[in-house]
Amino acid sequence: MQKYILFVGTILTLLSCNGNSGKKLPILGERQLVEKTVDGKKMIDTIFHKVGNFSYLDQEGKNITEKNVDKKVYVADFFFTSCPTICPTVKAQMKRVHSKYKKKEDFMMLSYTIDPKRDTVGRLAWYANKLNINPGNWHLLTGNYKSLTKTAAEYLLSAQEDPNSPGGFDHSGYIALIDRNRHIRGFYDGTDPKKVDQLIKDIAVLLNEKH
Amino acid sequence: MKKKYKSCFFYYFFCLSTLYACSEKTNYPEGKQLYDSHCASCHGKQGEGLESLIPPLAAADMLQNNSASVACWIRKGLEGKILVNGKEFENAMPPNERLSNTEITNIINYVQNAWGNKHKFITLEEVNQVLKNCK
Repeated sequence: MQKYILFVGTILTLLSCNGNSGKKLPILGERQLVEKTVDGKKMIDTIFHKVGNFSYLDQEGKNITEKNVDKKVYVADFFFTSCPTICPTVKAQMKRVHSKYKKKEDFMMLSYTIDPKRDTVGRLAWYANKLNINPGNWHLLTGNYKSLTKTAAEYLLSAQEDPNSPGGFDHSGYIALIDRNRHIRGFYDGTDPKKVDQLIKDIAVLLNEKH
Repeated sequence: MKKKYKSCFFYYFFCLSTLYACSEKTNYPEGKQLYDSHCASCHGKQGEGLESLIPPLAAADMLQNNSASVACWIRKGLEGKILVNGKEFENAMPPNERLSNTEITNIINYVQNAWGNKHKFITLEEVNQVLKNCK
């Protein structure tokens, strides 16, 4: 009996250690098949959905563009500082991600506001200070409202003005995980600590991916 | 054989006590449900708050010292600087005009007796009285 218990225990321990090795994350979003000619031969190539170029200001007034995330793994979410609903929960979970990876040079976090009228650089600086995330690789971004909704759509995340929603904006609590080539590799419910546990593991998978 | 039974007993005792500790017991189930849907996204499921942005409710001196005013804060919201356990908070709390007097009473009794908080039961009459005189 005792031998049997030891055996089962050992197997379970080994299984739990095996979590991430060899795991591959899919590339999400629309795919386009294009025909191209290589060395006279016709071939079919797949073009994966990619997050487009952007240019916003962060809490320190620094211009942050797609160049800042070049060759980096990063997470992105949409929020607003006066949000009375899910944002604080998502921010508490993002803090967990931040404390785990804040010292990684090839990792970043981008939180885009959808309320640029109220969320000025000064307001974002105040918020970042209250959240104790300065200094670091977590940038709270603001800019033109139309550009922000366009960027949200490129992340396949919903974020828009909606007078019927609490606080005046409708948005999801999802966090997107982006790879070094700006492909979306995962979405995680930022209000669910277990899903964020998975995000923390998947970030490690992308950081270890060959590039 | 006896020894085996003894270790089995301790094992099951351990499992049951862990399960019991995981399922949070409350005498105010409606208050908990209302808290989870109206308050927890900011103040946290365990009343822990968020950094220097949102004050905690667990072991918060401001709640213990101002139990009557809590009803008004929930209904009308709260603006300006406040001190909770010596720490300053200034983020505005939004009003919750849709919650009834009974719902507010249940939330207060839940919060005042959850996560180690211990406070005397507040009645609906007391809350009615307080809500009449909100500033």
